[in-house]
Amino acid sequence: MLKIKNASKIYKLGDVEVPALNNVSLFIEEGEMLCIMGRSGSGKSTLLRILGLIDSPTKGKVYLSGKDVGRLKEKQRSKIRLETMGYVFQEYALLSELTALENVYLPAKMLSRWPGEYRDRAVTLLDAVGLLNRMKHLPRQLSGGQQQRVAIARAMVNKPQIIFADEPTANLDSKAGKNVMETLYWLNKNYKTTIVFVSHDEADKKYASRVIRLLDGRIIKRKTA
Amino acid sequence: MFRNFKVANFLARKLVARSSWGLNFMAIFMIVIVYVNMNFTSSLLSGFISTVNSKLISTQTGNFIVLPKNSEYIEGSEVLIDDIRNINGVIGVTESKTIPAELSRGQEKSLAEISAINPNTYGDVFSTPKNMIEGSFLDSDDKDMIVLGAQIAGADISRLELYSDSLKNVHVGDKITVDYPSGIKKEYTVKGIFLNEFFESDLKSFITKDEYKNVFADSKTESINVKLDKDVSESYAIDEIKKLGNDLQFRTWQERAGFVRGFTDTLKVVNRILGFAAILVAAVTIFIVTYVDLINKKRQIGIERAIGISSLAIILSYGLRALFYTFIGTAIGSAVFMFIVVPIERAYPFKIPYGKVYLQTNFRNMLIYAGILTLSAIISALIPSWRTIKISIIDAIWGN
Repeated sequence: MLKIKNASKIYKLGDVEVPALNNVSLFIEEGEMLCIMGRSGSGKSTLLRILGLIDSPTKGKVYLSGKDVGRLKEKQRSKIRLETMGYVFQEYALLSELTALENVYLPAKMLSRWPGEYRDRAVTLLDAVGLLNRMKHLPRQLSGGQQQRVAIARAMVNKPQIIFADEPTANLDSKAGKNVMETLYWLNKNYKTTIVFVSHDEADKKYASRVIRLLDGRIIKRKTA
Repeated sequence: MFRNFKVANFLARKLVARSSWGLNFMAIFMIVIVYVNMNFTSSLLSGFISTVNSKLISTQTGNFIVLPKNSEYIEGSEVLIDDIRNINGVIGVTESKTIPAELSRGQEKSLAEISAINPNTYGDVFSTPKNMIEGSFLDSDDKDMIVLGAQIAGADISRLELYSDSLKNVHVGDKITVDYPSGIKKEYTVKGIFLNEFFESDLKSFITKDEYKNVFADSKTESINVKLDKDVSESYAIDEIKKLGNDLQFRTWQERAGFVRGFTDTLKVVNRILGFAAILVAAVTIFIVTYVDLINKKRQIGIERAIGISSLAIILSYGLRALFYTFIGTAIGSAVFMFIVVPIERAYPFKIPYGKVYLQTNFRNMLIYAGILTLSAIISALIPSWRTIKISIIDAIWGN
């Protein structure tokens, strides 16, 4: 469903060119749970951002359901992100002025016509991640793990084909991290949602159906569970 | 578009309701100050212009002056005056003839215009008879009597603008000598001294038209001043007089405004400049408020964009917030202006050489100012939010 072909990414820091991704090709199948692992600076987050249409490759192509989406304008990419993708950030990334419930249904509000439609879905998702009793709380009133579960519910609200999670457990203690990973695993198994997550924690491998490892911007190992 | 607006409205409401109350207060407070200032300056200048204009009308010209077109005098003036008086909306008509003269008492001399008037009708058009500071105004049977403006008599009022050129210490009952250009010299007793607080009219002197007739054996009318009811236009009354068929020309009070018009035109320009400066202050304030807020929210906006919220909805949300600030600000500003500033100024009006100045509120202007303020505030909010949207999502979320 999602494919990148010969993708490279070079960042410019003043006059210095820093290669982040080097001629990477990858195909993500529908319903799989892919784990991208690697050391810090190996290019895993860059790869995830390119897959998630948040960034564009310097070279190479990105295909979604056979369509080249790598060079689309931001307006079209935004529409694709809204309709087909969900994103979970490392740093919770909830909007501070919105309650947990509002954070969850905000992307749905961009798509739905009737308030009841997205509100009910958001409540169901918050219930599914175990935060029904926290839905009227602002992000600052939630723990890190709770915020990350709200972010997962938000990523799910538009029934995306694929969810990207960039080191979702990095800022959490082991118990909260496990809880978040189990939530993602549960979504993958029960909703058949494709999930691509980045992790540097070897323990997270067990949730993945496939693991790839990056080093210096190249895929060095592919392993199917 | 509807969904963008719906989301923008949602985000704007949350931005206002859950962001810093200090920020909201500062933005609204600035709008209130600017809006009150705009209305105050404009109303004060309007009040000033109105005071000057009403002085001009009530002491110098009336609503308009009827003059002969191809001769020195108005033929058949008595009939014409009666006809004008019968026109709907005319509330006063009086005739006059003016001649320059030199007035003297002892060593003091002063050049002045002496108007020969009809004391019975003069008060129907002009307020001068009510503004006597000494003695009384002329009666139609007064002989050898003169009424002087304070700027001519001096009357020991040294604060007068033209006191040094006046007769300085002339009072009621004093005798003054008038030298007419024809060589006739006559002594008059001062019957009264008036102060209109409008120095052009306070330079006048009056004798009765019968007195003039006795001196010059001439009773022809040189000009007729007409006063109209408040809601009657000058053009209507002039058209009606034209129908009477005389060979006449007309000068409205605006045409006779002279220095007053130049003065009021300057004030209008000053008013516009001050208004523009006030709007600029409001626009810069909203710009700064939005800009500072956006610096802190750059990452948050990056996240909004990453999860698929359109740039348009995000920009609109800041525009709507500015709209909210100006709506509340102008509403509070209107209340402060109408219910606090105006009543206080009415109780303690400003005093200028032309009299008291009252704030002249104009609801149309208030609406226009609110509209201009709103528009500039929205533009000031849209510019920084649009610039923030131009930053890449990567830089917005993970950049410095």
